[in-house]
Amino acid sequence: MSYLPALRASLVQAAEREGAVRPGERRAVPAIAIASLRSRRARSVALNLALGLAATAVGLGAAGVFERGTPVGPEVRPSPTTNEGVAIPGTVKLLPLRVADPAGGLPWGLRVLRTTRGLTCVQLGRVDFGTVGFLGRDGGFANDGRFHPLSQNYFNTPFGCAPTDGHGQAFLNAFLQDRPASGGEPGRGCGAEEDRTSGHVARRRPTCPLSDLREISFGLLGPDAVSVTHLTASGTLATTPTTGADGAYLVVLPHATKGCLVPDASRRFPAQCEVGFQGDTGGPGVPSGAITAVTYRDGHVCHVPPPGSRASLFERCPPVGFVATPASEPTSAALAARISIRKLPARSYCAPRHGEGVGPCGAHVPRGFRRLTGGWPSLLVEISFTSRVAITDSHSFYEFNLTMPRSRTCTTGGNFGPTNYDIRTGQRVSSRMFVPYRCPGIVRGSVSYVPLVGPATAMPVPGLPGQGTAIPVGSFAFRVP
Amino acid sequence: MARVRYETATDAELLARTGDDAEAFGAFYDRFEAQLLAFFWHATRRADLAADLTAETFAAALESSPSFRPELGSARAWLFGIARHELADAWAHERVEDRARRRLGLDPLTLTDAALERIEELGSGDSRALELLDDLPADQRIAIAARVVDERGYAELAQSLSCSPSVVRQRVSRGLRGLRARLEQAQ
Repeated sequence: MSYLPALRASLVQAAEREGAVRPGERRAVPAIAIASLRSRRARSVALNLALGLAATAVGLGAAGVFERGTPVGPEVRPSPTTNEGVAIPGTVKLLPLRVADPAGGLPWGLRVLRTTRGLTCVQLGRVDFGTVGFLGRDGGFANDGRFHPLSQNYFNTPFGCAPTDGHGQAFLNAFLQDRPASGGEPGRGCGAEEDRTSGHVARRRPTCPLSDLREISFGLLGPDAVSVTHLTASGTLATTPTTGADGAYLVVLPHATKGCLVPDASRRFPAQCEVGFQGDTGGPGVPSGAITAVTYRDGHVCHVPPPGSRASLFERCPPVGFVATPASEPTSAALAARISIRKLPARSYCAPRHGEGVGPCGAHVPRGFRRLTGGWPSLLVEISFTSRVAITDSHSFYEFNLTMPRSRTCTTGGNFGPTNYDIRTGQRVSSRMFVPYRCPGIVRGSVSYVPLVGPATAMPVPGLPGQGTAIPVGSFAFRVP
Repeated sequence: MARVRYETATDAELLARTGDDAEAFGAFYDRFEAQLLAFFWHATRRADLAADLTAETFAAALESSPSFRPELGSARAWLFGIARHELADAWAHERVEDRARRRLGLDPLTLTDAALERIEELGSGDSRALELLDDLPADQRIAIAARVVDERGYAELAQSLSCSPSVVRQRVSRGLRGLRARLEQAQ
């Protein structure tokens, strides 16, 4: 018996409707478009190979020819008490590991730093002038051919931050696909973009030459890890020692033509991978990707499940050596607070172009803001309370939960959102959330306090590894007209 | 297509038939509904969010079914890939999306208390097994997850774990014994 029989029936009805329009319309057009794209790509690659231009980085890549360009700063003005915080002076160090790029030129490297919010962060890039940075190529920085050093407060490296543990260690891992060889993020120049024309699957379509894309694995495994076994560009496996007390590793491979690093039966590289598994992955455990095993000081070896297997969803090589930060968890009684609700009805709402926050706005959009469009008409609600404890870093946070009334028109189960900033004892804490008008009735909600109890990502979301049990602070209810 | 044909069809065949036979997608739904609900419950610890995310995942899968290519991997892995993206989207935007459902014009999802309770039971049972699995030695945990959860063959596992098939069998056997003992202790 189905758990949600109405959903099943709706899907089958939708499949009937979809099937009715598919044969002549939806399938034929994309098929032709994809075929012609492939053909163009194939011709381009063949031409490049014939001309000896497969490695487009050659002209720019010789070490030492770069001039220093403008630094790469954070997208949002950094604050020592918000989000990642800011780098603590004296903790920023360029790790000694250097990894050659498949096309040559400046090596890749990692810089590690500690932040004011109790995080350890890694910055990934090419190395020159004794620091990490991005190259002005691949469409980034107007192709100025310069080396752009990263600001110490640049925290956009995916999965690049994790809470520092009780011994000053952090455990983080990332597997990034289709990164530009410039070192930069895909948004700064070419890269890969999600193809959403066929639905919600992240099918990636390179927007720059494949030879300019890289598959990158990096991470910090802690002092107990001694080596990683990983794929190489030739398809073989290699074992490389980790670097320093952080247990750092970095692997840079050329673009996998099928988009995923799965050794096939004969262990040739690259091989195929499911569409849904493409994209960046990471966290405190070692994700499936270029790394196939981690060896620890005590001799035990952890094998990483191959990408594409269901085990890869649940099984990662877990962090070894995490030491919890000594802290006493507050009780629910010590946290309990009265929750206030303020409705902010408006015809439209605006949000800052950079940073967080949303509020009602009239005909005029304030400078630096943008009007929110799309989605269902919604009511903005502000939930607030007075914190009875202090939150001094990213190792704990408050969580807001809303559960919508059940009705024929309401298809959204609920909203949820965490705080991600330091809070003083006695400080007023608030969060604004949208409730769609198609969910009329009583909306119920709660506020909880969530401590970190194990290795975690820098993203404060209950349910992710390392997040402790939510401790109730208070609950509330309000009516949506 | 007769009912018996759905039962013997592979996951990929069900997806391939969806364009011509809507009930094939219903059969595909039946195979993965509980697994997806448990997966999302484990991630969010909320039955309503698990149901919401499951609905959006199946809607996205229905939309994308014409682009599914069995030569690139299993339908199960493809579906869970979509699920993981839906989950990541929900975390990133702090809300469950309903774009695919709106595009398909799906009926609104009505959740009864009984349905929510059943999802809670499903998820918490799954969660306990997973938690107990975590207590096993790494080699046994990996072997069980790959063999029992992922249903991969011993020969394939032996290759990816760089050991003989008999060693994999031994690890699975020992792991299951350990898991049973832990379950008995827990009850």
